[in-house]
Parts: sequence; C-alpha cells; structure tokens
Amino acid sequence: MTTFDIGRIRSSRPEVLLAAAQRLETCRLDVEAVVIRLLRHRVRGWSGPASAVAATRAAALVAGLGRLGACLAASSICLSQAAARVRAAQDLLARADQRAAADGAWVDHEGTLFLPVRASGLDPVLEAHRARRDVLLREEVNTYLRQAVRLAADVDTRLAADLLAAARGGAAAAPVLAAGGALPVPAPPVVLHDAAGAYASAAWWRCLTDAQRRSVIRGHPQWVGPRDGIPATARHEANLALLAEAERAASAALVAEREHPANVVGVDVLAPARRRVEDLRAVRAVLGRRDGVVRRLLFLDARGREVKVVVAQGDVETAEHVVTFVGGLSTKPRDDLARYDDRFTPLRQQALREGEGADTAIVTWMGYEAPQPHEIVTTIDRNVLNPKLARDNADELAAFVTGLAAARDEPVHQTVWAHSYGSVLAGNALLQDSPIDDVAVFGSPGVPFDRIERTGLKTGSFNVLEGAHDPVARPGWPLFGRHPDTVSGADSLSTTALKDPTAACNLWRGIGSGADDPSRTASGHSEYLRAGTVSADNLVAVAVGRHDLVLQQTPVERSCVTTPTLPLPPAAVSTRLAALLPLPLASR
Amino acid sequence: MRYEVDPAVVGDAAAEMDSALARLASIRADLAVAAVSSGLPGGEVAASTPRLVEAWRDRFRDARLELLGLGSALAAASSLYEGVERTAAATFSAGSQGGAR
Repeated sequence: MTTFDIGRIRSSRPEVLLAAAQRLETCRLDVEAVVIRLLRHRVRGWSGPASAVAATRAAALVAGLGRLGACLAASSICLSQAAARVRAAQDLLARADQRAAADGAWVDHEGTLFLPVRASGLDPVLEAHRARRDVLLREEVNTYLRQAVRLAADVDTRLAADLLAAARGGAAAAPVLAAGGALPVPAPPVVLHDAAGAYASAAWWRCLTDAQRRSVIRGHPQWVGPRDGIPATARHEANLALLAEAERAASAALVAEREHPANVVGVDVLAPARRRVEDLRAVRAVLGRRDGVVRRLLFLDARGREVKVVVAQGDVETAEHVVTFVGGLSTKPRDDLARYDDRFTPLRQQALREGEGADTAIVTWMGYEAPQPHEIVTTIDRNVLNPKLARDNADELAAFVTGLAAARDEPVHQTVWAHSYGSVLAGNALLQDSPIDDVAVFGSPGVPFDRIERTGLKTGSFNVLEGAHDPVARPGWPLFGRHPDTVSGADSLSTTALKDPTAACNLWRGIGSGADDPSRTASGHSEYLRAGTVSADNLVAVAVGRHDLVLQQTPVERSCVTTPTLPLPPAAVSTRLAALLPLPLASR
Repeated sequence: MRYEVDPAVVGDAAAEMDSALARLASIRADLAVAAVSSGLPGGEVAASTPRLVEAWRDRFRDARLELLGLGSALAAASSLYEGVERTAAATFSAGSQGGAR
C-alpha cells in the first residue's frame, strides 16, 4: 500500500474526482440510450432458426451493455464518495490548522506541529494552564492528522481497486456492483474515556460520508449514541433508538417479574424493574416537553443498576456557552431529571440576557450511577463517604466535555457546575486534560487538589459556593481532599443576600434568622440553583463568562455563613427572650 | 418452425446496429477517467490510472466489436435473403415461359 502523507492530502483535488464521476455518469446515460435503442428496435417479420440465433445474440449484446452501464455507474459513485472522503480528510487538516492557529501554533505542509516558544517564569497558574492547553492541542491536532492520513490512504487503496475492478468487469467487479458504490462503514475506534478517545471518535465521524452516517445511526445506534466527539444531533437520533429499545426491554422485564416473581421473603423483587421503567419514563417525559426548547439525549445506558442519562437543554452544537451540571448523592432520573430541567429553564433565559444574546446550553449529566443514601450502610465502594465512585467516573465526565468541543466547528466556552458529591467527581475530572474553561462547585465536601495549578484552570476559573446551614459544605469531609475554598487560587462566591452587608452575624442573628433576604439567599444544601438567588446569579455569570457580574463572598458574609445560629425558638419563648436580649428576636 | 422473412426488415435492423455503433463509439469513458490521477496524486489511484484508461478502452472496443459483428451478420443475412428472393423469382420467371399455352 502506498503511504499517503499530509502533503499529498493537501495537494489532492476532490473536485477533479467529482468531475470524473460526472463524466462517467454521462457515459452511463449514453450507454443506456444505446440499450434503449436496441430494445425498442424489435425485428418484426422475421422468424425461423436464423432469427432465433440473431435474437439470442442481440439479447447477449444488450445484457453486456447493461453490465457496462452498471460498471460505469459504480465507478461514478465510487469516485463521488472518494471525493467526499478526500474532502473530509482535507477538512480534518483544516481543522487541525485552525486548532493550531487558535493557540499560536501551526502545522507545516508535511504535517509537523510547531508550538510557539511560551514565556516561562511567569505566573505558575498561567503556566500550568498553558501546559494543559498545549497537551490538549497536541493530542487533538495529531489525532486529526493521523486520521486524515489513514482516511486518505484508505480512499486511495480502495478507489484504485474498485475502479479497476469495475473497468475490467467480470467476476472481479461483482463486489463493487453489489455494493452499488456504497462504502462499508469502518468500525469506530474503541471507546476510550479520555480526550484521545473523544478526538479519535470525532475524527472517525468526520470521515464518514452522509450516507454512511445515516447508515450507521440506523444500523448501529450503539456506536453513535454513547460516543463522545460526535455531534449532538446524531447522538440524539441514535439514543432515541436506544431509548425505545431500552423501554421495550424494561417493560418486558417488569411483566416477566410480575408473572414469575422471585420468591424472596420481605424483599420487593419488582422494585429494580419498576425503577428502570420509571427512569426511562422520566427521560421520555423530559424529551417530550413542548415548551419550544431544544432538548438532546446525549447519552443513555440502561444496562446497569441505575439508568445513566445525559440530556441537554439547548443546542450544544451551536451555543456559545455550554454548562455541564453534575449532581451528587441520590441523583437519579426518575426523581431529578425533570426537576433539574425545571431549574435550568429560567437560568438559561437569564444566561441569554446576561450573555448579551449569546446562547447557553445546559446539560444535565447523569453519566454515572450516583451513590444512593441506602448504600451508606450497604456498600463500601459505592458509599457516598468513599471517593472511589467519583474517581472511577471522572474519565467519563472529562471525555464528555472534550467530546462536546471536538464535535463542534466553532470553539465553545465550557463550564462545569458540580454539586455535592458531583463536585468530588468533577474535581477528579479536573486533574485530567480537558477543555473545561470554568468550574463552579457548590455544596462541595472536598476536591482532590490543593492549588489550581494542578487543574490547568486559569486564575478566577475555579469558583466555590457555600451556603449557610449546608452540612456538606461546612466543615467539609477531609477524606475527599481539600475543602474547595481552601484551594490556592479558588474564588469564593456569594450565596447570601445580607440585609446589612457590614453587620456581622452572631448566635442569635444570622442567616435564616433576620440577617438576610431569604428570597435571594441560598440556604442549606439544595438551594444553589434556585432562580433569583445570589447563588444562581453567580452560577449564571460564571457560565456566560461575565466575571464582572460575579459577586465575591465578603468577609462579613463568610463569617455569617460559618457562624452557627440558634434554632428558631417557639413564639412564646421568643417573646420572653426578646425582653431579655438586646437583639430583636421577634424578627426571626 | 414457422419461417417468415422480410429482407427489408432485416436490413433495417442492420442499419440500426450501425447507428448504435456510431453512438457507442462516441462514448469515451477512457478519457473520463484519465484525469483521476491528478485528483489523488502520488498514490495507488495515480499509479493505476493508465491501466484504468486501457481497461475502459478495451471494454468499449469489445462492445463495439460485438455490435459490429451483429450488425454485419444482419446485413449479410439481409443481403442473402434478398439474393434468395431474387434467385427464386428468377426461377419462377424462367419456368413460366409458354407453360400456360
């Protein structure tokens, strides 16, 4: 096999292949006209042995011309498809060039990537960020270059063989004619849950023709639906097919369980099958919402103990900003998917306003089986007090966000919002190379790093939100690593609307007891996303890259958040205490 | 077997073959594929383009020869039938002189 290099791909001219395809199609039409002419001209008024022999010979001639026409058609289709694939290879090179140029690098004619000399000895956070970007750049650009060469070489070899077989006719042409010019779909790369896997999948998809893409979605939806690096539209279509399949299987399993229940005393044996049906119903219901909002099913896996699902609200292929939200303990589709979707609708509208018209898509990422409350006493590995589950699934999150970027033609600003145990998972994902620009962790028990240089994020990109009375965020759980607001380089954002920003709190007057505006304050562990709160405002500002709108946590607020307050006393006690104490408890 | 011959009809078929042959001769698939080497330079397609051109040229030449063969046979048959007709007519003409007297 001839080695195809980058230089040859650059000097290839797909338009020439296309022109040849069109000329061959014209030839085919001409042959067809000859065949029609021969078929129409039936000799009447001649019968007998000589006539029969002549007719047999004429029929053979027509058949031969028919085969000739079919070979011309197959050659024409082969050339058209080859032109499209060569163009795809050149598009991959163009993407590699653009990607390199965006970071001040360049790819020469032969495909060598040159990085500019980066200034060193400056801000260590910036250097770490720069180094991470360079790793990603090399990975992405080289993946595209390798795939482009592989594709062009395959096109060249296959086209040469097919054209010759079709031109020579006979038995060798049979496979080309049988395929009708349709190329078999090359198997996708093995799914690797890291940046390299997402880039390889993106390159694989970009190298398929439209016909192949349609064919693979129809014939192998499992190749497309879960694959990071493939455009959302295609994943959605494939995942809808997988959803229908999963629904059928789950319903059948439930019926079977009902008819022949396993005999386990005291155990609801139908529960797992019923939960699966409920999870899938929840997915279907969210996708079926008719509120004019685009929703995409980006991932579905109903094979495990819990259904894993990823749903985007908004168009992740075109939105300027994409947020990926990761939930924590007890998150599951049947209970939370619709709830999160409800929460995100007003936040997206707010993001549209604050983002000066730029669209923001918000993804509910339930791509891992979140730990469940009962597992605190039933398991070790899946226990919410154990960071193992977060570590094990961090690759999936990193690959997902990498895939979102790789599947797009335009750059995207990506933010991860991570709540509770989800922030432990996101923290582990941040240790990998991924194109995450900004992060906001809220109600976080801890993250596995002590300074943001280890994540490659820029200064001001690691944001921590901690509300008052959040038993998870305060004091944090040391077994997960560092409390996020003690991470060097972290920014602590406001979650509280104090009535008097200068008045410190104390045991009797604190958050939830007169010091704040409850409608604007996120209190406890589960209010961070409530629209209208300072917390949600901050999350939206981070999502749209409006650091000028971000409200930092002030020392006064910090003392309020961390100062314990007495529980609200009964009214009678309150009245008696009010008379004794200098502070107005009545207002509590 | 029923015999029926109209030499003119067979002659028309031969003429039709000639016309089809002219149309077939104008089809140049070999020229159409000659340019593909510049579409994918330096690889297997480029290396195999001369063989490709030759293959299409041979294929069309074979088709033309086949068409030519059939057309020639039809023309020969038409001519033969006309000759038979003429000979038979001449035989009857000769045999009929004075026979009715």
